[in-house]
Amino acid sequence: MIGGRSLAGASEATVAAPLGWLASFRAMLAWDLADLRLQLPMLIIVQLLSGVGTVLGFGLFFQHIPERAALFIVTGIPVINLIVIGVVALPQNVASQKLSHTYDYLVSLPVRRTIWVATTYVVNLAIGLPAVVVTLAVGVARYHLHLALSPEIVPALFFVSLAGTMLGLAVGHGVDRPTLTQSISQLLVFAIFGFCPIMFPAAHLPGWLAGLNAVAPFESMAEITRAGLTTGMATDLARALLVVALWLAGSLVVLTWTMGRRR
Amino acid sequence: MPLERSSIEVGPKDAGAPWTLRIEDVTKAYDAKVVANDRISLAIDPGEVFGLLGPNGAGKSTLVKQLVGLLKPTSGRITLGPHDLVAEPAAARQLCSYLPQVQLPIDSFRAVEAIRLTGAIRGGDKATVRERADAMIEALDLGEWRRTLGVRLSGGVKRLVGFAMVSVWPGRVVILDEPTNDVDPHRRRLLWQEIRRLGESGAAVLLVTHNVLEAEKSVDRLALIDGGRVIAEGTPSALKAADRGRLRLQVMLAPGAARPEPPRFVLSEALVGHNLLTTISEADATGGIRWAQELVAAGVAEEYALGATSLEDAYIRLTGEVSASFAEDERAAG
Repeated sequence: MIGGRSLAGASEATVAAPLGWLASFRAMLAWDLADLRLQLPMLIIVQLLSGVGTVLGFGLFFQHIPERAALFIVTGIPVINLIVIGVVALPQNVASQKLSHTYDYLVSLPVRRTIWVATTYVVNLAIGLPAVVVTLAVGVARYHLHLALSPEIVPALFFVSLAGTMLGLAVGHGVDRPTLTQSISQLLVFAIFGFCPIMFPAAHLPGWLAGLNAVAPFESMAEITRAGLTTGMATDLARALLVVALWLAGSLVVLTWTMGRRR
Repeated sequence: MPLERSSIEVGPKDAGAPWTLRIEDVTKAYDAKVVANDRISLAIDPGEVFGLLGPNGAGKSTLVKQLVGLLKPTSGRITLGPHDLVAEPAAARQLCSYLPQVQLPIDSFRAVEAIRLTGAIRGGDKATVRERADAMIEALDLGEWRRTLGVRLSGGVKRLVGFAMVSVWPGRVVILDEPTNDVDPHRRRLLWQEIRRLGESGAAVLLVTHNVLEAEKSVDRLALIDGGRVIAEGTPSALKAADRGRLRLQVMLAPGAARPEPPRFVLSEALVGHNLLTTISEADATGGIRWAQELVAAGVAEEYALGATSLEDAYIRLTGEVSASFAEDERAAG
């Protein structure tokens, strides 16, 4: 059924009824994986190297890192990597599709928007999660840390990746001008690495910037992840969950309005 | 001499077919000043190959993007069978296959894989899609690139793979925006055969092209769009009807020569590079040859040719300019 009307009457030889959600998801996932064939191994390796490299790099930079600081670094870097895939790489990908005009073709395919979103999320997890695991393992070994792993870490990572992916998609689809999208994503990299309390406590920031970060999603994403990895470091998990959930909801609203919208 | 402009009034065909694509009074205005489509009405029946011709910026691509739900008309209706494609963009995507003017994003795909995956996404069953993909690869003579990654394909081969992608499990309407771009002459012929076959299979094929000569041989009907409006519509023969009894007199001007003032009997003219294209009445053939010979004798022209008119002449008469493909051919010929 389409729009409440049946496609009955269309020749079966040329027109198929719309696929069910799962069948369409499988077909689009196969498309996405083939689309990433040339880049996927490199993307995973780059994620691994950047995570592990940054963790080890801090150890080279400072002779001695206190345990608490090391915990912040080791648990923060994987979060940054996970966020960057969604918030930076995704909008740039959508922007480049718009610039090359292939966006129109992709949007013209008979695929529900929820399927676009779902396959993008699955692919982002596939790119991001291996680096999270390896970076944590290397960091723990290098700084002789003891993580307090809890089962909640699994949904926490899935939730953080989901929010990052949706936020990235919202920026990619919501901002009309691809060049502006690219500028925004560059700005976000700068902000996430330099001015978000992900690898250090918010108390290190001036009050106004800490206040800004309290309502921005990235510190809260780190807080949610740390709650599943450590004890006592995540001080206000409920607030962090609320902040990220609100950003996720806002991103979904923007996506609903803007993804593949008719101009 | 002012160029002759006219409009051939051929109303939308009403065959009463249940899956006729009907475009009714469609206007697309980006703002008060930019009206890309201005009250366009067309009807395309199942099985028909319909050409959409016009100069760059005429509004052709804007029109087809409204059919597949990429743009929303400012006003007007687009229906396909029982579906209102403006109100039901999901139906538009399911029922219309679309090959855009740009290359499809298949750099990471093997040719056969891109065709099969698109068939699967469009809802085709696996066995039939595989069978059709193989048949299309053979029909378009793409066998040697069957498993080649898109990034290693030439522009023309990639274009053919794109055509196979949108045709392997076509919708009721197949929209092809410049499908022959970059395709070599041999495979271009094969492509036209496949486009005809698509029509014979029951799809309504909407072909956006700047290649007037190829369109003349391959489409059942066509519409000429200029300035966002349909300025003529009908069969190629109907559009050429006004040129019956006329001849094309083509004069190759000498480099640096000023454009000569044409005699009064010249009915239309257009300059492409050094090539002055004119139409004259058959009755004026002798006078035309004499004029051309005088130009050669005076050193203004290097040579001339007198021949039958084609759809290109109708295009010139109606739009006031030569088609892009004709201009390209002339430039290529030096």
